[in-house]
Amino acid sequence: MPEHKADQASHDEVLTRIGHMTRTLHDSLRGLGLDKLIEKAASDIPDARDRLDYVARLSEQAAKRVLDATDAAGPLQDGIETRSAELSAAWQALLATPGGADWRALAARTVASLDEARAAAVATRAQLMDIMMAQDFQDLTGQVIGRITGIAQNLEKQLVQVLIDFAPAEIRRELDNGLLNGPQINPEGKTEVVADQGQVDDLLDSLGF
Amino acid sequence: MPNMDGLTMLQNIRADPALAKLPVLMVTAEAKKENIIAAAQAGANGYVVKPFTAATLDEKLNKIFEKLEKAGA
Repeated sequence: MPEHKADQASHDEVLTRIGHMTRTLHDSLRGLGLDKLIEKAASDIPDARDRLDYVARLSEQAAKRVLDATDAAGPLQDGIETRSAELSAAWQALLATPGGADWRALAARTVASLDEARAAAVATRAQLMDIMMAQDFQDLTGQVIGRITGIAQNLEKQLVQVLIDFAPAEIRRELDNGLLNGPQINPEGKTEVVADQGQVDDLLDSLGF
Repeated sequence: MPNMDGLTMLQNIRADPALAKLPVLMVTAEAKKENIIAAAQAGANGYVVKPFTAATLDEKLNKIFEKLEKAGA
């Protein structure tokens, strides 16, 4: 069966060549130091996860502090409102009574109420301060999020670089010169792209189109 | 666009004798100068880059019609 033998031979040839290609790819990755890059990118992921946990924890703490402070300050304000309404009504009633004799007692009540209001105002100010201080998490989480964004960008860059380095030559050319560049998100400082319609018109005018 | 990009389509249009005179206004997000020049060289009648306004589109369309009338007159 010579035909079968030939089949077998070409089969072996394919396997051998795939083996060679795999070895070459592996060696190239090592040679370019990409295996280290990929390893680093992979180890960045748990780090990013921990940082996101940290952001979630701090945000939650801040939210709780704000809610607690608001809960504490609310009743203080309610008390001031209620007592002020009572006193106001009592004074109006007293003033409406001809020759009202009871004003001393009411004045004493008013002084007591003013003292309470002052204490409540001090306590409320403390709660407001706590609400303000609870926002300090933003300073930290902002930095952490910035760091995570950096990790994500780095990871993407490394993976894209691997893809570009191992793309067939033809596709690589298309990557550089393709028509799917999309809108220019940040044309500042780039000379090879236009920023707006005016520049398109100028470019075409300057070429006589 | 599916199947082919705008530049290739423009080249196909210009290569087809029945369509060669068809006015073509490119409307695209592509902002690379070399691709804009490539489109002009391939025979685009106008080039509008996204994001664009209705006024821009109107202006470019009128310009194309004016040029067509001049060429016809």
